[in-house]
Parts: sequence; C-alpha cells; structure tokens
Amino acid sequence: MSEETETKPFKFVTAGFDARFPNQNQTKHCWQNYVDYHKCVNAKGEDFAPCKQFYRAYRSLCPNAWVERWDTQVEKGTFPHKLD
Amino acid sequence: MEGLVELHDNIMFYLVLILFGVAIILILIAFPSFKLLYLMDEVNDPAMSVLYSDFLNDDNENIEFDSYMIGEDDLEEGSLRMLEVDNRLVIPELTHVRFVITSADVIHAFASPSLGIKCDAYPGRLNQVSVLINREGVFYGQCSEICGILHSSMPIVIQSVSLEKFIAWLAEQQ
Ligand SMILES: [Cu+2]
Repeated sequence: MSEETETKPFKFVTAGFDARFPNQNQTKHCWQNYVDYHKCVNAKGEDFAPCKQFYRAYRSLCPNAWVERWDTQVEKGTFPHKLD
Repeated sequence: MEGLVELHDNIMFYLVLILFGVAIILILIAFPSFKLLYLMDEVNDPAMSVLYSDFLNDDNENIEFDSYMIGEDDLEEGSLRMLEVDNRLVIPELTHVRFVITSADVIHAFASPSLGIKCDAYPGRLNQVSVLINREGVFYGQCSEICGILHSSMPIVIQSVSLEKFIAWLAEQQ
C-alpha cells in the first residue's frame, strides 16, 4: 500500500423508507419499483434521469433471479401488468 | 363563585373531572411510547441493502456471492465446526443496513442471535430486517427453520468491519 491511492468521495445509496410499504414484507416494494421504472421508461424514454430512482430501488430490493425472469417476460410481452 | 361552591358536593362533577384528568395524562404518556414503538421497527434511512447474500454498491452493480459451510476436513485449527463459511457476509460497522431475506426453494430462516435478528425466508416473498452494528466483530447464526437433511449445514457468518476495510473488500469483489 505504498502507492498513492485516490479516494473519491462517495455515498451509499439504497432504496429508502417508503410510506406505502412500512411492513416487514417488502415484496410489493420491489415489484412496484420495477413496474414504475418500466412505466417511467415507456413514458419518458430511457435517458430520463428521474427514472433511475426506480431502477436503483428495484435493483437493491429485488433478487437478481426475479429481475431476470421479469425482464424476459417484459421482452416477450407476457409480464402480468400493464407497463404503459 | 357561587356556582363553583355548589359543585363541591356534586359527585358527577368530580367523576368527570377525574376521568378527564386521567385521560389527559394517559394521552400525554402515549405519545412518547408510540414514537418509540414506531422508531423501533421502522427502516427509516438505511445506507445499504443486503439481499440475503447479494448487494449493491455505489456504482449500481450487484455484488453476488455464495456462502457455503466449510466441511470438517477443511477446517483450520481453532475455527468453529459447522459454523465457519467460505465467504463471510461483510458489512460496515456503524451503518444502517437492511437485510432483504428470501428463499429459492423451501422455508429457511436467517438468524443471528447476537444481533437479535431472526427472520423467516420464504420463496416468493421478501422480508426485511434492519441492523446497526456498533463495533467490529464476527457474528454467527444458523438456518432456524427446519428445511431438509442439510438444515444443520447452512450457517450464517456476518462480519462487521470498519468502513475502510469494507470499501477495500468491495473493491476486491469486483
Ligand atoms: Cu435452511
């Protein structure tokens, strides 16, 4: 560790407290953010920055396996919720 | 003044007075207790989430790893039989951490008695518990819901480290 190491300031970010989901069960919290992200992207486009908020929330709450499964469902158009 | 004097032998007056007085005192003590009660289990502003065994760093990338028990033959001297794992779950001390617990097959339970957490893991459901560890240390736990023949072989090891060490660990994982 003799080399000079550069430390960037950073902040831990994760999905915060959501008054809609005060429960121990956070399943719907994850799901709702996934749906909201896709709704947001469909309405405002991929580059719309505020959509990132939903993305971050579902990425930190949902298991990767769930996200993968939902992604394939969205691609195939079999996702069981309206995304527009 | 005349009216008040008459009330002196009125039982109803005292009854109402005392009932309201007691009610007001009860309401006043209820507020702080409710506040405490809600503060206790509310995850207000966690700094990070640990998803059973994977979590998210500040670059928006998931860190994913398995944590399996070390078999009896591979144990190092002094380490605990049936408790030691190959990849410990490392979290920073003095940081509000949320565990999101789920299962892929049957019901298990994520538990660590010394952290005071025990939470069932159900397939298809995400349970949340929050933890704030005040010091560095290693905290052991075991699956606490009988789940199959290997129920005894799924220990949990949580290691709390300083923030610098945690960041170094994060960098190592990528
Ligand atoms: Cu188990």
